[in-house]
Amino acid sequence: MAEKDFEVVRDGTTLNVLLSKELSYANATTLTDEMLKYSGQGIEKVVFDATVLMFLSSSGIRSLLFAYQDLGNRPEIVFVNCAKEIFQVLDHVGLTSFIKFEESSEKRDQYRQKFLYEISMRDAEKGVEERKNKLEQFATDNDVVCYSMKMGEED
Amino acid sequence: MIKNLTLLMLFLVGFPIGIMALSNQAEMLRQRQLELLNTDSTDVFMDVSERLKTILEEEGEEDLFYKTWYRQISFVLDNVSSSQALAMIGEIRDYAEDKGSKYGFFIVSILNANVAKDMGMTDRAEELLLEAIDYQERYLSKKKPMTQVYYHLARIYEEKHQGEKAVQLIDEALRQPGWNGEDSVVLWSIKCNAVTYIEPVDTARFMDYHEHLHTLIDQYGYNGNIVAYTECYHALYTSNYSRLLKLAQKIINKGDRLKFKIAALDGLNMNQEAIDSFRVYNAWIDKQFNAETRKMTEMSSLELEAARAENEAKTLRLTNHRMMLIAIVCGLILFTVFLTVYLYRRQRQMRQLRQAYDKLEEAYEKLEDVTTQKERIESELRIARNIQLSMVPNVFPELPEIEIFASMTPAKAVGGDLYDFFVRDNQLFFCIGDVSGKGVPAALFMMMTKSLFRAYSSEESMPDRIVTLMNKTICENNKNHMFVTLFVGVFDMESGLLRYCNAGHENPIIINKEASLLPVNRIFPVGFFADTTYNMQEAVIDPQTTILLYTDGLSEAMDADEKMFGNERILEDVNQAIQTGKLSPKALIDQLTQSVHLFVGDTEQSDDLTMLAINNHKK
Repeated sequence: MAEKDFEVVRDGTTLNVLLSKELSYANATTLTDEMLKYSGQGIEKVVFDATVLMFLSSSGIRSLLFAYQDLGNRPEIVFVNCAKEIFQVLDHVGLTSFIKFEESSEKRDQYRQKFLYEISMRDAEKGVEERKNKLEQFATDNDVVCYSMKMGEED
Repeated sequence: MIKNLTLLMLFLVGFPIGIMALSNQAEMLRQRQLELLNTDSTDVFMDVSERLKTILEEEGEEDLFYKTWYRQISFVLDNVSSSQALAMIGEIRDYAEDKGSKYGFFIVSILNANVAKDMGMTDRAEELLLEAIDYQERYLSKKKPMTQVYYHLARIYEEKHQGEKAVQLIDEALRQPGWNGEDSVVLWSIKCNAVTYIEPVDTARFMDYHEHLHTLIDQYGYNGNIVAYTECYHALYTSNYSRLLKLAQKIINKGDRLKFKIAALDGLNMNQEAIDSFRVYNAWIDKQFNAETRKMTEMSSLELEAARAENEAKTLRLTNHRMMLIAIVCGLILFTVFLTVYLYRRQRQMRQLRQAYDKLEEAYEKLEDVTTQKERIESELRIARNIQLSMVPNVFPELPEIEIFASMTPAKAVGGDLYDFFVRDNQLFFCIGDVSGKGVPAALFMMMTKSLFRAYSSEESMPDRIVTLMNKTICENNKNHMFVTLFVGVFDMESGLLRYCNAGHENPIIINKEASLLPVNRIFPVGFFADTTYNMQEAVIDPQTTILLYTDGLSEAMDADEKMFGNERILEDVNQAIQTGKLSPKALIDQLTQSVHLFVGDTEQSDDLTMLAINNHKK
């Protein structure tokens, strides 16, 4: 099942691709199709924001080849904030020879903030879930039907 | 009996109003019956009456029919006998009962009251007449009121010495609507007579009423004989006995006529004639008063009551039947409406159910088709898998110089990994590769790659040359940018020299007393760019050394927490094999396979897993 967990935004002759934590068989074809919508439109540079990218499979590498060979004029390929593991994969297949790597503390901060927010939300959700579970257990142990409490309306 | 005459007169007055539509024959007979009233021609009167009744019955003149019958019975009562009259009353009662005629019952009530009064049963007669009035108001309210009833009641009050009550009765009657001028004359005549019932007689009051009566007679031009009885009283109170004697002759009722005649003869001092008339009168009275007649009258009244009650019950039953019929009709209408609504809703539900069933059937057929297709595809994929697995060497030759073993486990039915090996010129040509992507496209590309390897390595001995040729061929029409990471090696089994070319594949591991990665150049996989130059590398494989090659399905195998198996764990397993001495290719691959299975647990295999191990047997 193809997933769309990325963003493709055109900025003039630059195509900004915001990658998620994984570029693999699951989402590579969708990303390729999304990028190829800009084929022949004078794209000179494709910037992959790899700040959170943790896994790159051979299917993901194919997406890079599509970007490089089918967008037209062999645009410059840039990886921003590429993790060491991803760099090793790219290096292994020789792609580091024509990919430009950049660091962006601004993007890292953005993701850090976003990551922290998601973590806090996840923790909050987890806390609510744990509280419901405790109430369920309480109701079961005490043979008490407390639907309102189960619904989290005890407050 | 005097009332009968008056009653007959009343009918004489009332008839012209109701006979406008009578046929000529009926009208002629009616006139003839009236002429015969004052005669003794009983047989002729009865014959005319019967013929008139027959015609009126045929013409549907109910009121006139019963009045004719009433007149006939009254005649019999006055001139024949009470018993015969009572028998005739029984006939008319039975007839009315049979026809369900309320008017007939009304007439019979008056006749019974008439007979009862004549028999001296005044209370019973009063009761019957009051019931007749009530009956008339209840069931015959649309018909014109009848003066006869009030006449009879007034006569009863006369006998009960309640003259004032009779006057009040007539006053109440006069307040009722529906009377015509002649009715007013009749009622005022009765009112005059009623004054005579009050003792002592107030002659001045009688004269006042009599004067008003004559005013009405003049007003309406009345010239009948209905007032004869009143005029007799007038002659009596004015002591005009000659006139009284003359007027008395006009009164047909024998008893009344005799009473006035006796009074007139007595006033004229004609004593002997008066005594003779008195004897006749007593004889006539005795004749009327016999027990048998009284009993018959009572029975007739009782039978009439029974008939009337039965008629009322019939009316009630009819009403009940009507109510029941209405209830049934309403029930049927409600049932029909309910049934219609029920059937409509049921039909709609059936239609929806049918549509749902059709959709379900359609979905089932599609599912069946899909299942069939899926089964067919799965079957085809199983065949493809078998074909693919059979294309790579599954029989591992036992050679004196080397031991070789390999395994390939696609993540899906078919996969994109490949390995191959063969011996030519005492050299082992081998390769391992990993096609980008998964499934059928990768499998097709894998088979092409493997075929190209076989083809080029059959002629070329340099691995870089083999890879270069394969790359050019693959890149010629590679619009989908498929590529394959490939390691091609040529091992000289005599010298132990390994010449190899790596195109983006994992570093092989050299295993001897320790494990180390075989150095490889970083260059593009096969299929990237057609103009890529691949270089050859060389290494000497010492005796008792194993070369382990694998695809990223091993290093990147993931567990439930998405942690990768990784190169470190591979090296750990390899070092463990070194320590245990289990370095045969098969033992090594089995060890790694078991280790990676333990690592991923129940997690679905994410990538094809291929391993190839070659051990240099030389010592």
